[in-house]
Amino acid sequence: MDIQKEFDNIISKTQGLQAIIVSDKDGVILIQSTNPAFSLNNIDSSLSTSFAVACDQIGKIGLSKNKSITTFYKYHQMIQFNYNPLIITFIADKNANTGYLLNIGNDFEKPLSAIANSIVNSENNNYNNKQ
Amino acid sequence: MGCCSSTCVDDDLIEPNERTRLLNEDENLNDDNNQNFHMISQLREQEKLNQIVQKTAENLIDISNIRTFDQLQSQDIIERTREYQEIIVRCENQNNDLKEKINKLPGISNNNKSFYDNVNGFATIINTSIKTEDKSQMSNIINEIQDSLNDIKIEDVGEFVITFE
Repeated sequence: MDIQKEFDNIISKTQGLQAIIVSDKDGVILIQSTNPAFSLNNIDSSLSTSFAVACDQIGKIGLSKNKSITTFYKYHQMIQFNYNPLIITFIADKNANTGYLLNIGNDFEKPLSAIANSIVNSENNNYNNKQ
Repeated sequence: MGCCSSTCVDDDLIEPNERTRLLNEDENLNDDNNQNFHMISQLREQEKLNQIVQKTAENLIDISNIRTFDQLQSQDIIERTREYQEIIVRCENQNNDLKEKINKLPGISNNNKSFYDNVNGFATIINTSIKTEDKSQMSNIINEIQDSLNDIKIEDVGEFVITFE
């Protein structure tokens, strides 16, 4: 897949970036790219579902819809973007350039919108067929 | 002898408490002889209550259901993954926006590590990479500032006394 190769390219060009995951709200992964030295096995499978719920709920505090959440851990940082129905997750070292990663993530919105729209149309078609 | 005072209390002025009726009393509800009216009023009441419940649900922040989500069945996951792969291949053929964006990204590689050393090891939050000439200019400015701070001489002028009058 071309997009997969392009994501591998981004990881090799960006210092500290370990993984890029594109998934839906139920955690089904569309595209996943990781640094060879990094393993996603220790990460809970409910990563995307937790973010989806948190994103929905935090949109109720009166500052309009939530766009992204950045979380800092002891050795890593994680940035997740809400491009409904897609969720993009960046996992990077704690000292990676957060602003640069936020910029890359924001740039993904338009190119991935075609995929997001296709998924929404597909879900609507499936729903209509069931009716 | 005394006086017995009384006041005329207007019902509208009573502050609502937990027992105060949410919906206003409708006069038609007392009309037991008209069953249709009674039914319509009940429906209206139900509708209003549903609106109140819906509005509360929209504004209520509740994350208690994070752990109770049903996990997808493996068959569903496989089917959905296959569907997504088809969508991605179809979209890849249609536009090259993503490739163009990625090719334009400047690389932050290990060669730029010295930049972080120049800002005392703090990871800076900047939104694009820095040009080489900007980096060297900032390094020079920082070094000059450091030299200036080291050249500040403090002279002891004795006690400094202020009188308050």
